[in-house]
Amino acid sequence: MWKFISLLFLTLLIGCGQTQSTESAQTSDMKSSQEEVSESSIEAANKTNEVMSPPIIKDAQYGVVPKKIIIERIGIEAAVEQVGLTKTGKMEVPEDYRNTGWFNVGVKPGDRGSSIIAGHVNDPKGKGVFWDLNELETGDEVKVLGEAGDSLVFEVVDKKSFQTGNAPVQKVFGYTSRRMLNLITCTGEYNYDIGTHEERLVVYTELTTDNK
Amino acid sequence: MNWKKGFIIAPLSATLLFSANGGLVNAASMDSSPAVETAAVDLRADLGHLLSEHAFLAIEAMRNGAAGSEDFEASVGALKANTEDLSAAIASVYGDEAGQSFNDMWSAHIGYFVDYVNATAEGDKEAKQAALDELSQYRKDFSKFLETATGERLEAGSLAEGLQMHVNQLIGAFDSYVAEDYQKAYEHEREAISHMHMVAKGLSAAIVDQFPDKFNDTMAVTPAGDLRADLSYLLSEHAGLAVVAMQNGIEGTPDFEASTKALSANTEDLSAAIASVYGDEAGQAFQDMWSEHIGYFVDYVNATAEENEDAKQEALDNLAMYKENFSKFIEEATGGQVEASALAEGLQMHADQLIGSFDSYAAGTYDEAFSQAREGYGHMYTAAKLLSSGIVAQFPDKFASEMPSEMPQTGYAPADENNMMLWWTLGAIALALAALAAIRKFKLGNEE
Repeated sequence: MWKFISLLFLTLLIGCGQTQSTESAQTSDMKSSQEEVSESSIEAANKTNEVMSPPIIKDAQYGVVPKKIIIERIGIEAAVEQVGLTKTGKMEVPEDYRNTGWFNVGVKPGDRGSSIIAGHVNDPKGKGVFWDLNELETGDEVKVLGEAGDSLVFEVVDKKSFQTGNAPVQKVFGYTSRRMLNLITCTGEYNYDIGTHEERLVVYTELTTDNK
Repeated sequence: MNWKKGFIIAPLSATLLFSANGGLVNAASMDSSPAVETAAVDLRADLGHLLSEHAFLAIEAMRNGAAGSEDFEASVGALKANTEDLSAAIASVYGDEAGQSFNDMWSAHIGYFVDYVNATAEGDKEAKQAALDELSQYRKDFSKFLETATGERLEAGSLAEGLQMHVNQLIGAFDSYVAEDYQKAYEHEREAISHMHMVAKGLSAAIVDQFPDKFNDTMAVTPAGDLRADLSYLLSEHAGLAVVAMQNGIEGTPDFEASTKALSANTEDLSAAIASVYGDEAGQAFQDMWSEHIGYFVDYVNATAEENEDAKQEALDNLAMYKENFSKFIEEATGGQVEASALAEGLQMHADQLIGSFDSYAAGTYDEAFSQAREGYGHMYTAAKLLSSGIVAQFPDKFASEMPSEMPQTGYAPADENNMMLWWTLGAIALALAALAAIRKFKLGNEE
């Protein structure tokens, strides 16, 4: 009898594993477009040949605390919660599967470095906020709204999926001189043995030149 | 500790050597306690040192050029020596050929600055324009160089953008100086120095990302690395600005006051950095002590101007006494993590370098003055390493890694699991019913 039950259980397990999976995102060789040369203060200075005391030049700050994320291309308009690290050093995830979560230990979207917004691909009942994230392609726009309603526009520059255990966390979360917003969700098949999806999808987006 | 090592000729070679035999240190720092002495953070510190020193020396050389001061050639020589070090650093990562092409490109951009200075001095607007046009091209050249060196990495654009900002800041500092807006000239200078540490942050992150094995998989940008970089930036800037203020003091230049104000602003930033770790009271105590030692340097400059040997000696004695007090203060603050004796030794060297540079300057031996100034600037990177290392060891939790240990858990078992749950539930109910039926049967049987 017990043998039968466990056999039945196994069959169900295998069956379930195949019934639903979020498709692995194709690793595309998308390339970021190099930003255009913005008008430098030198060029501005060129216009007047008088010797003057120019204003102080600082690296611009664009970072916002994200409140809402809008990705028109896949019909996403979702609230952004703040998530941090758990006591065991893992990244927290949004409590509400309809919301996304900004990793507030890292940089703000718009600042130099890799800001992170994660969202569930599904929930126990069905689709999560980032269900369609794998459909994004190079050039698609991702809009982030801050507290004051100020918005930043990012552009998809790459997308990759990684085996969950082997994902290059340092590269995804690490510093870069680019102003990146990396979107993360689960992808691949659900693996009951490890209790999570087999892969993670990362959609890399970069602040567009218009914002700079 | 060998404080002489604070001045490293080819820092990245040292970094790579270190990474080759420093595996133990770095392996330990991977995920356990945070560390400031990893191969990647060393690289960041070395690049921050040389790039920020470039900005500092370039601004000095341009000012000297505009003012037609006697130490102009010596300052240009120091700038060239910095370029050699920077090129050696690039070569240690990317090979000799890349080092040479970096050297050519970097020297060319310095050449355009010199053109700009000369054109300004001659009031030649067309030549100024030509120099600016060349400098506008620089971003593209640098971007191309970085793309090649980093293997078509996408950071090339943003890094070159950072270098372009550097060019603009230098022009800003120079134009403000020529316009006799000295305060703004020094504000530009401070911004330019700070900016180069940001360039170093991005560049080191990109290099480490490109060659993770060379850097034992350590990261250039970590909370501990940031502390070391911040202290390196402010301490070396202190040394640089102090050298300039002392030179301005003895010469009685019109920008003297502005240079001392910049030095004070640096002290405030340094105190704020200390306060961010130890609280406002400690920050204030630090500021008082730090300002005191600057005062003794001022005394020395004044005594030199007055040719008062006794007063000079008094200033030196005060500096020696200060060194002891300050070292004890830091030892106490860091709970013994920074030994007073090691720090005192480092501070004495700092004082010797600044005084040595100043004495050489006052004696008209400008090459020596700038050579010692460079040593003084570089020495602060050793001091910053010592200090940040002690602070991080004292508060490991404050500087713990901000990286999650793994990717977030952004999915649940598929919805179909509910079906399975349903089966389980149904199964459980069926079992329960069967059991109930059995019990009832059993009870009934008993009753019978």
